[in-house]
Amino acid sequence: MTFVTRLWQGKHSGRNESGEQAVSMTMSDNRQAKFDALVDIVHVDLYRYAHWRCRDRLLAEDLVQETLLRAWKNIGQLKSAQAAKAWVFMIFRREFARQLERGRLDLVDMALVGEYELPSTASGSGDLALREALARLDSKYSEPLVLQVLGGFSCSEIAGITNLSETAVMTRLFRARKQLRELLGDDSVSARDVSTVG
Amino acid sequence: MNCLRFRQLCLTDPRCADQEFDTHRAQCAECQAFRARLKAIDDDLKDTLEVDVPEDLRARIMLKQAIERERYRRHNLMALAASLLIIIGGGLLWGLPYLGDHREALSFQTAAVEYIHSRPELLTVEDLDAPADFNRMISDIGARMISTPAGIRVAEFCRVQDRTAAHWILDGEAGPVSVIYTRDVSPIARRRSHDRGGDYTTLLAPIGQGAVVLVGETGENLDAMIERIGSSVAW
Repeated sequence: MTFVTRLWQGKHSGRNESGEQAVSMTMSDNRQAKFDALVDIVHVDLYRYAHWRCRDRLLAEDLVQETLLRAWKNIGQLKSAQAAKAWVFMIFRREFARQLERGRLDLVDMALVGEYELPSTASGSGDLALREALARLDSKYSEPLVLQVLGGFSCSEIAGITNLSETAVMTRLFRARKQLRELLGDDSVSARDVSTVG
Repeated sequence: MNCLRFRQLCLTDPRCADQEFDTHRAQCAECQAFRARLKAIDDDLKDTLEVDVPEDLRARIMLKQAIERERYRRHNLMALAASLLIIIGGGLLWGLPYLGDHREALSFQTAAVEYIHSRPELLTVEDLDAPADFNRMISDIGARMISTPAGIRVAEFCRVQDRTAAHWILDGEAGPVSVIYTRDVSPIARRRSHDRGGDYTTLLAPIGQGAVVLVGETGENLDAMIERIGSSVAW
């Protein structure tokens, strides 16, 4: 009789509930509480931004974890709740650049972006033409647009994140939307408009 | 505000909360339609970018941080102990915690075996995502994958004796082998094996910066399994 069989025959019954439960992080430490709150605020949008940058789910997950670990190590520097999200996105960009420089990221060559078929979103929503148009934008234009639309950042915050002047950010946003409209057709109807017709 | 200025603002900052912006939008039908088209594109764009977020992502973030926090705490404790030695001198040497005390590790080994016995159903599971989960876990615990060991059936994080631990089940020669790895235990100097008289065999060994407990069928070569895991991961 094997070890497995003996176990199955009821030597030990039931499941170890404590082993199944997610790790509980109930800390009274102020630093830990700050980090908990920070993760709650940023991890969803940060993951989605990382997914757009990396175009790979696993890479995005890894980078998000690394970013938030760095944020935790430097959380003493965070003085304002309003600046928290932008601060984390700034850390992410630095981490992304660092990993790219070290050759640790296997990304699609940006020069081939126009030919790259974007993975469809898990939810299945999103206009294909729009996704392709976004992929064809130069990243210096698409990034501020994504930060504004997805992250909800102001022009001032985007300037801080990307280390550009506010004027430069506004110029790039202007060109991004203008190019998007041209790629989609100036009088094109969006998916939402279609959904309300007839 | 004229139409040109309004449309410039639409293209750069469509959420503009300017009073003049709102007034012009209310008064100019063409600009209102222009803004509506741009907003629709922005909304579609947001839908496109809002991919599903992995359900366990937050948990993994917190776990990685907890592991790192423990590592810092132990590092700081050791630094503090070293400072005390320098300040006070060798006279306190015998009063300090004995690093390498095997009692803590043996207690952990017992708890790990109990945990494995409490999850008998896992020994007959083959999770197809286990190899990918294993790779991700290795990264989460601060190690580096060299190659995924063959025959991984289960890979999960768990709690043993209130310590965060990684739990893997691999195919052994005599049957499934359960492996419990943790960094949250005092280092041990050497391997300690124990054969439970035909019931099962277990091995406690140092690996990386922590300790590992293996449990397998009687006759299983657990030393070989340690070597197999050790050659797959750069700790």
